Amino acid sequence: MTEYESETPRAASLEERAVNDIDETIVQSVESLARASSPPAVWSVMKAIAAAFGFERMIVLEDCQDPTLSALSPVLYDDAPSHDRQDLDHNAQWRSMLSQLRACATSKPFFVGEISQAEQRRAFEALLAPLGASNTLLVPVARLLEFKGVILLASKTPGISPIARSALHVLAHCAFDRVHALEHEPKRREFGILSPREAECLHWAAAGKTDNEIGAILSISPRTARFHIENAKKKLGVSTRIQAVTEALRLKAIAA
Amino acid sequence: MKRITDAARLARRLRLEVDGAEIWRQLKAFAAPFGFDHLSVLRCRDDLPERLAPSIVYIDAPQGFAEEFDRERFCPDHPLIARALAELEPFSAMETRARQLTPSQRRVLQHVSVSLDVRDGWTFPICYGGALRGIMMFGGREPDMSPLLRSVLHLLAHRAFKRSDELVDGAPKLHRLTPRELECLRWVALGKTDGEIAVILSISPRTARFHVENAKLKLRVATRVQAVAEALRLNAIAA
Repeated sequence: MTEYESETPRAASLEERAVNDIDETIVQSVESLARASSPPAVWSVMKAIAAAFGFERMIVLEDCQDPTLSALSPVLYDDAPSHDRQDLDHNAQWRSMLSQLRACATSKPFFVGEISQAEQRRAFEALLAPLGASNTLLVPVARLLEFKGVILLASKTPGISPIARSALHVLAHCAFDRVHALEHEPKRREFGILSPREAECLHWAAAGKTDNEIGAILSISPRTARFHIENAKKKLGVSTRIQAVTEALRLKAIAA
Repeated sequence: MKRITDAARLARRLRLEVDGAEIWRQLKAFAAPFGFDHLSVLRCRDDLPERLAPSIVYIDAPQGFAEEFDRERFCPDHPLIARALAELEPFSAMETRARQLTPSQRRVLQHVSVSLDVRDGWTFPICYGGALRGIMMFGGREPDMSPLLRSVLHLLAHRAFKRSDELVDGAPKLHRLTPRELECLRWVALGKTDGEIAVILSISPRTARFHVENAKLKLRVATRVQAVAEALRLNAIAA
Protein backbone atom coordinates (compact mmCIF):
# COMPACT_ATOMS: atom_id res chain seq x y z
CA MET A 1 0.00 0.00 0.00
CA THR A 2 1.42 3.40 -0.91
CA GLU A 3 1.66 6.28 1.46
CA TYR A 4 -1.06 8.03 -0.50
CA GLU A 5 -3.61 5.27 -0.26
CA SER A 6 -3.18 5.00 3.48
CA GLU A 7 -4.00 8.70 3.83
CA THR A 8 -7.12 8.54 1.71
CA PRO A 9 -10.06 9.47 3.95
CA ARG A 10 -12.25 6.47 4.62
CA ALA A 11 -15.95 6.72 4.01
CA ALA A 12 -17.45 7.46 7.40
CA SER A 13 -21.01 7.17 8.58
CA LEU A 14 -23.03 10.35 8.95
CA GLU A 15 -22.79 10.07 12.73
CA GLU A 16 -19.00 9.83 12.70
CA ARG A 17 -18.73 12.64 10.22
CA ALA A 18 -21.07 14.91 12.14
CA VAL A 19 -18.53 14.81 14.94
CA ASN A 20 -15.32 14.74 12.90
CA ASP A 21 -16.18 17.09 10.11
CA ILE A 22 -19.26 18.96 11.16
CA ASP A 23 -18.69 21.65 8.52
CA GLU A 24 -18.70 19.19 5.63
CA THR A 25 -21.81 17.45 6.98
CA ILE A 26 -23.66 20.76 7.07
CA VAL A 27 -22.62 21.80 3.56
CA GLN A 28 -23.67 18.45 2.11
CA SER A 29 -26.97 18.59 3.97
CA VAL A 30 -27.78 22.08 2.65
CA GLU A 31 -27.09 20.83 -0.87
CA SER A 32 -29.18 17.70 -0.55
CA LEU A 33 -32.08 19.61 1.05
CA ALA A 34 -32.01 22.11 -1.82
CA ARG A 35 -32.33 19.22 -4.29
CA ALA A 36 -34.69 16.85 -2.45
CA SER A 37 -37.39 15.65 -4.83
CA SER A 38 -40.41 15.54 -2.49
CA PRO A 39 -41.49 16.69 0.98
CA PRO A 40 -40.95 13.21 2.51
CA ALA A 41 -37.44 13.23 1.03
CA VAL A 42 -36.82 16.64 2.63
CA TRP A 43 -37.91 15.39 6.04
CA SER A 44 -35.92 12.19 5.83
CA VAL A 45 -32.74 14.21 5.13
CA MET A 46 -33.58 16.48 8.07
CA LYS A 47 -34.27 13.46 10.26
CA ALA A 48 -30.87 11.95 9.38
CA ILE A 49 -29.10 15.17 10.37
CA ALA A 50 -31.03 15.43 13.63
CA ALA A 51 -30.16 11.80 14.41
CA ALA A 52 -26.50 12.56 13.74
CA PHE A 53 -26.68 15.25 16.45
CA GLY A 54 -28.22 12.78 18.91
CA PHE A 55 -31.94 13.46 18.51
CA GLU A 56 -34.04 10.32 18.41
CA ARG A 57 -37.39 11.81 17.56
CA MET A 58 -38.48 14.50 15.13
CA ILE A 59 -41.88 16.14 14.72
CA VAL A 60 -42.54 18.92 12.23
CA LEU A 61 -45.46 21.26 12.84
CA GLU A 62 -46.74 23.83 10.37
CA ASP A 63 -48.44 26.99 11.49
CA CYS A 64 -51.41 27.60 9.25
CA GLN A 65 -53.12 30.85 10.11
CA ASP A 66 -55.87 30.40 7.55
CA PRO A 67 -59.02 29.65 9.63
CA THR A 68 -60.67 27.70 6.80
CA LEU A 69 -57.93 25.11 7.06
CA SER A 70 -58.02 24.79 10.83
CA ALA A 71 -59.45 21.28 10.64
CA LEU A 72 -56.25 19.98 9.07
CA SER A 73 -53.59 18.47 11.24
CA PRO A 74 -50.62 20.78 11.77
CA VAL A 75 -48.29 17.78 11.87
CA LEU A 76 -46.25 17.64 8.66
CA TYR A 77 -43.97 14.85 9.78
CA ASP A 78 -43.74 12.53 12.76
CA ASP A 79 -41.27 9.69 12.81
CA ALA A 80 -43.00 7.71 15.57
CA PRO A 81 -44.65 4.41 14.62
CA SER A 82 -48.30 5.15 13.86
CA HIS A 83 -49.69 3.34 16.95
CA ASP A 84 -47.57 5.57 19.18
CA ARG A 85 -48.76 8.76 17.59
CA GLN A 86 -50.85 11.23 19.38
CA ASP A 87 -54.26 11.06 17.80
CA LEU A 88 -56.31 13.87 16.39
CA ASP A 89 -57.37 15.10 19.82
CA HIS A 90 -53.91 16.45 20.15
CA ASN A 91 -54.21 18.74 17.17
CA ALA A 92 -55.78 21.41 19.35
CA GLN A 93 -52.85 21.16 21.75
CA TRP A 94 -50.29 21.40 18.95
CA ARG A 95 -52.20 24.43 17.69
CA SER A 96 -52.14 26.22 21.01
CA MET A 97 -48.44 25.53 21.23
CA LEU A 98 -47.93 26.97 17.74
CA SER A 99 -49.84 30.11 18.62
CA GLN A 100 -47.67 30.58 21.70
CA LEU A 101 -44.57 30.12 19.59
CA ARG A 102 -45.54 32.89 17.17
CA ALA A 103 -44.02 35.40 19.57
CA CYS A 104 -40.59 33.81 19.15
CA ALA A 105 -40.88 33.16 15.42
CA THR A 106 -37.40 34.43 14.60
CA SER A 107 -35.60 33.33 17.74
CA LYS A 108 -32.73 30.87 17.63
CA PRO A 109 -33.46 27.21 18.53
CA PHE A 110 -34.05 26.71 22.24
CA PHE A 111 -34.63 23.83 24.64
CA VAL A 112 -37.90 23.70 26.52
CA GLY A 113 -35.86 23.87 29.74
CA GLU A 114 -34.45 27.23 28.65
CA ILE A 115 -37.84 28.98 28.52
CA SER A 116 -37.68 31.67 31.18
CA GLN A 117 -41.42 31.97 31.85
CA ALA A 118 -42.19 29.16 34.30
CA GLU A 119 -45.86 28.91 33.31
CA GLN A 120 -45.18 28.52 29.60
CA ARG A 121 -42.33 26.11 30.28
CA ARG A 122 -44.56 23.83 32.35
CA ALA A 123 -47.30 23.91 29.70
CA PHE A 124 -44.81 22.83 27.01
CA GLU A 125 -43.32 20.18 29.28
CA ALA A 126 -46.75 18.69 29.92
CA LEU A 127 -47.56 18.61 26.22
CA LEU A 128 -44.23 17.03 25.31
CA ALA A 129 -44.10 14.54 28.20
CA PRO A 130 -45.58 11.67 26.11
CA LEU A 131 -42.54 11.87 23.82
CA GLY A 132 -40.55 10.30 26.65
CA ALA A 133 -37.56 12.56 26.10
CA SER A 134 -35.86 14.46 28.84
CA ASN A 135 -35.00 17.34 26.58
CA THR A 136 -36.77 18.80 23.55
CA LEU A 137 -35.25 21.36 21.24
CA LEU A 138 -37.66 23.73 19.50
CA VAL A 139 -36.45 25.10 16.17
CA PRO A 140 -38.80 27.90 15.06
CA VAL A 141 -38.88 28.67 11.34
CA ALA A 142 -39.86 32.05 9.89
CA ARG A 143 -39.98 33.38 6.37
CA LEU A 144 -39.83 37.17 5.96
CA LEU A 145 -40.40 37.51 9.71
CA GLU A 146 -43.62 35.49 9.51
CA PHE A 147 -43.85 32.35 11.63
CA LYS A 148 -44.08 29.23 9.45
CA GLY A 149 -43.73 26.35 11.84
CA VAL A 150 -41.47 24.53 14.21
CA ILE A 151 -39.34 21.39 14.23
CA LEU A 152 -39.40 19.54 17.56
CA LEU A 153 -36.33 17.44 18.25
CA ALA A 154 -36.39 15.15 21.25
CA SER A 155 -33.30 13.74 22.88
CA LYS A 156 -32.48 11.83 26.02
CA THR A 157 -29.09 13.45 26.39
CA PRO A 158 -29.06 17.06 27.56
CA GLY A 159 -27.68 19.90 25.49
CA ILE A 160 -25.92 20.22 22.16
CA SER A 161 -22.87 22.16 21.04
CA PRO A 162 -23.45 25.78 19.97
CA ILE A 163 -22.33 24.93 16.44
CA ALA A 164 -24.88 22.08 16.21
CA ARG A 165 -27.57 24.49 17.35
CA SER A 166 -26.67 26.94 14.59
CA ALA A 167 -26.55 24.10 12.06
CA LEU A 168 -30.04 22.83 12.97
CA HIS A 169 -31.36 26.40 12.81
CA VAL A 170 -30.05 26.92 9.27
CA LEU A 171 -31.03 23.45 8.04
CA ALA A 172 -34.58 23.73 9.41
CA HIS A 173 -35.02 26.86 7.29
CA CYS A 174 -33.61 25.08 4.24
CA ALA A 175 -36.08 22.22 4.78
CA PHE A 176 -39.15 24.46 5.10
CA ASP A 177 -38.06 26.52 2.09
CA ARG A 178 -37.62 23.41 -0.02
CA VAL A 179 -41.03 22.03 0.94
CA HIS A 180 -42.57 25.43 0.19
CA ALA A 181 -40.86 25.50 -3.22
CA LEU A 182 -41.99 21.94 -4.02
CA GLU A 183 -45.59 22.74 -3.15
CA HIS A 184 -45.75 26.05 -4.98
CA GLU A 185 -43.83 25.27 -8.14
CA PRO A 186 -44.76 21.66 -8.81
CA LYS A 187 -44.92 22.23 -12.55
CA ARG A 188 -41.44 23.64 -12.89
CA ARG A 189 -39.11 21.16 -14.50
CA GLU A 190 -36.13 21.77 -12.33
CA PHE A 191 -34.28 18.66 -13.24
CA GLY A 192 -34.30 18.93 -17.01
CA ILE A 193 -34.11 15.57 -18.66
CA LEU A 194 -33.47 13.62 -15.47
CA SER A 195 -36.25 12.52 -13.16
CA PRO A 196 -36.04 13.95 -9.62
CA ARG A 197 -34.99 10.57 -8.29
CA GLU A 198 -32.28 10.13 -10.90
CA ALA A 199 -30.92 13.59 -10.14
CA GLU A 200 -30.96 12.78 -6.42
CA CYS A 201 -29.05 9.52 -6.91
CA LEU A 202 -26.48 11.21 -9.15
CA HIS A 203 -26.06 13.99 -6.60
CA TRP A 204 -25.07 11.42 -3.99
CA ALA A 205 -22.84 9.57 -6.43
CA ALA A 206 -21.08 12.90 -7.03
CA ALA A 207 -20.62 13.13 -3.26
CA GLY A 208 -18.65 9.87 -3.38
CA LYS A 209 -21.37 7.51 -2.17
CA THR A 210 -21.63 3.89 -3.25
CA ASP A 211 -24.90 2.28 -4.37
CA ASN A 212 -25.28 0.81 -0.91
CA GLU A 213 -24.81 4.15 0.79
CA ILE A 214 -27.20 5.89 -1.61
CA GLY A 215 -29.76 3.17 -0.88
CA ALA A 216 -29.42 3.76 2.85
CA ILE A 217 -29.67 7.54 2.49
CA LEU A 218 -32.76 7.52 0.27
CA SER A 219 -34.37 4.51 1.99
CA ILE A 220 -34.39 2.45 -1.21
CA SER A 221 -32.58 -0.75 -2.11
CA PRO A 222 -29.05 -0.53 -3.55
CA ARG A 223 -30.36 -2.17 -6.72
CA THR A 224 -32.94 0.60 -7.14
CA ALA A 225 -30.23 3.23 -6.64
CA ARG A 226 -28.19 1.47 -9.33
CA PHE A 227 -31.25 1.32 -11.59
CA HIS A 228 -31.78 5.11 -11.31
CA ILE A 229 -28.13 5.79 -12.11
CA GLU A 230 -28.15 3.37 -15.05
CA ASN A 231 -31.22 5.16 -16.43
CA ALA A 232 -29.56 8.53 -15.93
CA LYS A 233 -26.53 7.22 -17.84
CA LYS A 234 -28.77 6.10 -20.72
CA LYS A 235 -30.59 9.44 -20.83
CA LEU A 236 -27.34 11.37 -20.77
CA GLY A 237 -25.89 9.11 -23.47
CA VAL A 238 -22.75 8.20 -21.56
CA SER A 239 -21.12 4.94 -20.61
CA THR A 240 -19.66 5.52 -17.14
CA ARG A 241 -20.84 6.94 -13.86
CA ILE A 242 -18.09 9.56 -13.85
CA GLN A 243 -19.21 10.78 -17.27
CA ALA A 244 -22.79 10.89 -16.02
CA VAL A 245 -21.79 13.15 -13.13
CA THR A 246 -19.70 15.34 -15.44
CA GLU A 247 -22.55 15.65 -17.91
CA ALA A 248 -25.17 16.29 -15.21
CA LEU A 249 -23.05 19.05 -13.67
CA ARG A 250 -22.50 20.59 -17.10
CA LEU A 251 -26.26 20.55 -17.79
CA LYS A 252 -26.86 21.88 -14.27
CA ALA A 253 -29.11 18.89 -13.66
CA ILE A 254 -27.41 18.48 -10.26
CA ALA A 255 -26.11 21.22 -7.98
CA ALA A 256 -22.71 22.58 -8.87
CA MET B 1 -32.65 30.12 0.90
CA LYS B 2 -30.49 31.98 -1.59
CA ARG B 3 -28.18 33.29 1.10
CA ILE B 4 -27.92 29.85 2.70
CA THR B 5 -26.92 28.20 -0.58
CA ASP B 6 -24.45 31.07 -1.16
CA ALA B 7 -23.04 30.37 2.29
CA ALA B 8 -22.74 26.65 1.51
CA ARG B 9 -20.84 27.49 -1.67
CA LEU B 10 -18.51 29.78 0.27
CA ALA B 11 -17.97 27.04 2.85
CA ARG B 12 -16.90 24.70 0.04
CA ARG B 13 -14.40 27.22 -1.27
CA LEU B 14 -13.02 27.93 2.21
CA ARG B 15 -12.35 24.24 2.78
CA LEU B 16 -9.75 24.18 0.01
CA GLU B 17 -8.42 27.74 0.30
CA VAL B 18 -4.63 27.77 0.59
CA ASP B 19 -4.14 31.49 1.24
CA GLY B 20 -4.86 32.62 4.83
CA ALA B 21 -5.57 36.26 3.91
CA GLU B 22 -8.01 35.14 1.21
CA ILE B 23 -10.09 33.28 3.83
CA TRP B 24 -10.80 36.51 5.72
CA ARG B 25 -11.34 38.50 2.52
CA GLN B 26 -14.02 36.07 1.33
CA LEU B 27 -15.69 35.90 4.72
CA LYS B 28 -15.86 39.70 4.88
CA ALA B 29 -17.24 39.89 1.34
CA PHE B 30 -20.09 37.62 2.44
CA ALA B 31 -20.87 39.58 5.62
CA ALA B 32 -20.49 43.13 4.23
CA PRO B 33 -23.89 43.28 2.42
CA PHE B 34 -25.56 42.67 5.80
CA GLY B 35 -23.81 45.67 7.37
CA PHE B 36 -20.93 43.82 9.03
CA ASP B 37 -17.89 45.87 7.97
CA HIS B 38 -15.68 44.86 10.82
CA LEU B 39 -14.01 41.52 11.51
CA SER B 40 -11.63 40.53 14.30
CA VAL B 41 -10.12 37.09 14.59
CA LEU B 42 -8.28 36.12 17.75
CA ARG B 43 -6.47 32.86 18.36
CA CYS B 44 -6.65 31.79 22.01
CA ARG B 45 -3.34 31.93 23.85
CA ASP B 46 -2.62 31.64 27.53
CA ASP B 47 -1.98 35.39 27.77
CA LEU B 48 -5.22 36.40 26.02
CA PRO B 49 -7.04 37.79 29.03
CA GLU B 50 -3.99 39.98 29.70
CA ARG B 51 -2.77 41.07 26.27
CA LEU B 52 -4.58 41.40 22.98
CA ALA B 53 -1.90 42.03 20.34
CA PRO B 54 -0.20 38.59 20.35
CA SER B 55 -3.54 36.83 19.78
CA ILE B 56 -4.65 38.80 16.74
CA VAL B 57 -4.90 36.79 13.53
CA TYR B 58 -6.86 39.44 11.65
CA ILE B 59 -8.38 42.76 12.67
CA ASP B 60 -9.93 45.74 10.89
CA ALA B 61 -8.51 48.45 13.10
CA PRO B 62 -6.53 51.65 12.70
CA GLN B 63 -2.76 51.43 12.98
CA GLY B 64 -1.59 51.10 16.57
CA PHE B 65 -5.01 50.10 17.94
CA ALA B 66 -3.85 46.83 19.51
CA GLU B 67 -0.64 48.36 20.90
CA GLU B 68 -2.56 51.19 22.55
CA PHE B 69 -5.07 48.65 23.83
CA ASP B 70 -2.32 46.66 25.53
CA ARG B 71 -0.50 49.77 26.82
CA GLU B 72 -3.68 50.91 28.57
CA ARG B 73 -4.21 47.37 29.92
CA PHE B 74 -7.75 47.27 28.49
CA CYS B 75 -7.81 43.58 27.77
CA PRO B 76 -8.78 42.20 31.21
CA ASP B 77 -11.75 44.60 31.18
CA HIS B 78 -12.96 43.88 27.64
CA PRO B 79 -16.45 42.47 28.36
CA LEU B 80 -16.82 40.69 25.01
CA ILE B 81 -13.53 38.83 25.34
CA ALA B 82 -14.25 37.95 28.97
CA ARG B 83 -17.65 36.59 28.02
CA ALA B 84 -16.31 34.61 25.04
CA LEU B 85 -13.75 32.98 27.32
CA ALA B 86 -16.47 31.97 29.78
CA GLU B 87 -19.42 31.02 27.55
CA LEU B 88 -19.65 28.91 24.42
CA GLU B 89 -22.81 30.29 22.79
CA PRO B 90 -22.50 33.27 20.43
CA PHE B 91 -23.80 36.55 21.83
CA SER B 92 -24.44 40.11 20.66
CA ALA B 93 -22.65 43.28 21.73
CA MET B 94 -25.93 45.09 22.45
CA GLU B 95 -27.11 42.36 24.78
CA THR B 96 -23.75 42.39 26.60
CA ARG B 97 -24.00 46.15 27.02
CA ALA B 98 -27.39 45.69 28.69
CA ARG B 99 -25.80 43.50 31.36
CA GLN B 100 -24.34 44.62 34.64
CA LEU B 101 -20.92 45.95 33.69
CA THR B 102 -18.31 47.61 35.86
CA PRO B 103 -17.48 51.24 35.02
CA SER B 104 -14.11 50.23 33.58
CA GLN B 105 -15.74 47.55 31.40
CA ARG B 106 -18.12 50.21 30.09
CA ARG B 107 -15.20 52.49 29.34
CA VAL B 108 -13.38 49.78 27.37
CA LEU B 109 -16.49 48.89 25.36
CA GLN B 110 -17.05 52.57 24.59
CA HIS B 111 -13.42 53.00 23.51
CA VAL B 112 -13.59 49.96 21.21
CA SER B 113 -16.88 50.96 19.67
CA VAL B 114 -15.64 54.51 18.94
CA SER B 115 -12.22 53.58 17.56
CA LEU B 116 -13.57 50.76 15.37
CA ASP B 117 -16.81 52.57 14.46
CA VAL B 118 -18.88 49.56 15.53
CA ARG B 119 -22.22 49.76 17.35
CA ASP B 120 -23.42 46.18 17.39
CA GLY B 121 -22.37 42.74 16.22
CA TRP B 122 -21.87 39.09 17.07
CA THR B 123 -19.07 37.44 19.02
CA PHE B 124 -18.47 33.80 18.18
CA PRO B 125 -16.39 31.66 20.52
CA ILE B 126 -14.82 29.03 18.21
CA CYS B 127 -14.61 25.59 19.82
CA TYR B 128 -13.58 22.26 18.43
CA GLY B 129 -11.65 19.23 19.57
CA GLY B 130 -13.03 19.91 23.05
CA ALA B 131 -11.33 23.28 23.54
CA LEU B 132 -11.87 26.97 22.89
CA ARG B 133 -9.61 27.74 19.92
CA GLY B 134 -10.42 31.30 19.07
CA ILE B 135 -12.82 34.22 19.12
CA MET B 136 -14.30 35.85 16.05
CA MET B 137 -16.21 39.13 16.09
CA PHE B 138 -18.34 40.57 13.32
CA GLY B 139 -19.44 44.16 13.84
CA GLY B 140 -20.91 47.16 12.09
CA ARG B 141 -22.69 50.45 12.52
CA GLU B 142 -26.16 49.02 11.89
CA PRO B 143 -25.77 45.35 11.01
CA ASP B 144 -28.61 42.89 10.32
CA MET B 145 -28.84 41.12 13.67
CA SER B 146 -31.42 38.47 12.69
CA PRO B 147 -30.92 35.15 14.52
CA LEU B 148 -30.89 33.16 11.27
CA LEU B 149 -28.02 35.25 9.91
CA ARG B 150 -26.30 34.76 13.26
CA SER B 151 -26.43 30.99 12.73
CA VAL B 152 -25.19 31.27 9.14
CA LEU B 153 -22.27 33.49 10.19
CA HIS B 154 -21.53 31.15 13.10
CA LEU B 155 -21.15 28.17 10.76
CA LEU B 156 -19.01 30.14 8.30
CA ALA B 157 -16.83 31.57 11.07
CA HIS B 158 -16.27 28.07 12.41
CA ARG B 159 -15.27 26.72 9.01
CA ALA B 160 -13.03 29.71 8.20
CA PHE B 161 -11.22 29.59 11.53
CA LYS B 162 -10.66 25.86 11.30
CA ARG B 163 -9.23 26.18 7.81
CA SER B 164 -6.94 29.02 8.85
CA ASP B 165 -5.76 26.91 11.78
CA GLU B 166 -4.98 23.99 9.45
CA LEU B 167 -2.89 26.29 7.26
CA VAL B 168 -0.92 27.53 10.29
CA ASP B 169 -0.30 24.02 11.57
CA GLY B 170 0.71 22.97 8.09
CA ALA B 171 -0.90 19.57 8.54
CA PRO B 172 -3.31 19.01 5.63
CA LYS B 173 -1.99 21.97 3.68
CA LEU B 174 -3.05 21.54 0.09
CA HIS B 175 -1.64 22.99 -3.05
CA ARG B 176 -3.32 23.69 -6.29
CA LEU B 177 -3.57 20.82 -8.74
CA THR B 178 -0.62 20.43 -11.10
CA PRO B 179 -1.14 20.65 -14.88
CA ARG B 180 -0.59 16.89 -15.16
CA GLU B 181 -3.16 16.12 -12.47
CA LEU B 182 -5.66 18.38 -14.20
CA GLU B 183 -4.97 16.69 -17.52
CA CYS B 184 -5.57 13.23 -16.04
CA LEU B 185 -8.75 14.39 -14.27
CA ARG B 186 -10.07 15.82 -17.52
CA TRP B 187 -9.71 12.42 -19.16
CA VAL B 188 -11.26 10.68 -16.17
CA ALA B 189 -14.23 13.04 -16.53
CA LEU B 190 -14.59 11.81 -20.11
CA GLY B 191 -14.88 8.23 -18.89
CA LYS B 192 -11.36 7.04 -19.70
CA THR B 193 -9.70 4.31 -17.68
CA ASP B 194 -6.14 4.50 -16.32
CA GLY B 195 -4.97 2.34 -19.21
CA GLU B 196 -6.57 4.62 -21.81
CA ILE B 197 -5.23 7.77 -20.17
CA ALA B 198 -1.76 6.19 -20.19
CA VAL B 199 -1.92 5.64 -23.94
CA ILE B 200 -3.26 9.16 -24.59
CA LEU B 201 -0.60 10.89 -22.49
CA SER B 202 2.19 8.40 -23.29
CA ILE B 203 2.79 7.55 -19.63
CA SER B 204 2.41 4.30 -17.74
CA PRO B 205 -1.02 3.35 -16.32
CA ARG B 206 0.50 3.44 -12.83
CA THR B 207 1.63 7.03 -13.37
CA ALA B 208 -1.85 8.00 -14.54
CA ARG B 209 -3.24 6.40 -11.42
CA PHE B 210 -0.64 8.21 -9.30
CA HIS B 211 -1.74 11.62 -10.67
CA VAL B 212 -5.42 10.87 -10.08
CA GLU B 213 -4.75 9.65 -6.54
CA ASN B 214 -2.79 12.82 -5.78
CA ALA B 215 -5.63 14.93 -7.13
CA LYS B 216 -8.03 13.02 -4.84
CA LEU B 217 -5.85 13.80 -1.82
CA LYS B 218 -5.60 17.47 -2.72
CA LEU B 219 -9.36 17.74 -3.23
CA ARG B 220 -9.92 15.77 0.00
CA VAL B 221 -12.30 13.26 -1.53
CA ALA B 222 -12.63 9.51 -1.31
CA THR B 223 -13.57 8.45 -4.84
CA ARG B 224 -12.79 9.30 -8.46
CA VAL B 225 -16.38 10.31 -9.16
CA GLN B 226 -16.21 12.73 -6.27
CA ALA B 227 -12.87 14.12 -7.49
CA VAL B 228 -14.36 14.91 -10.90
CA ALA B 229 -17.47 16.49 -9.33
CA GLU B 230 -15.36 18.60 -6.97
CA ALA B 231 -12.98 19.72 -9.74
CA LEU B 232 -15.94 20.75 -11.90
CA ARG B 233 -17.52 22.65 -9.04
CA LEU B 234 -14.30 24.52 -8.39
CA ASN B 235 -13.95 25.20 -12.14
CA ALA B 236 -10.56 23.49 -12.00
CA ILE B 237 -11.53 21.55 -15.13
CA ALA B 238 -13.97 22.66 -17.81
CA ALA B 239 -17.40 21.05 -17.87
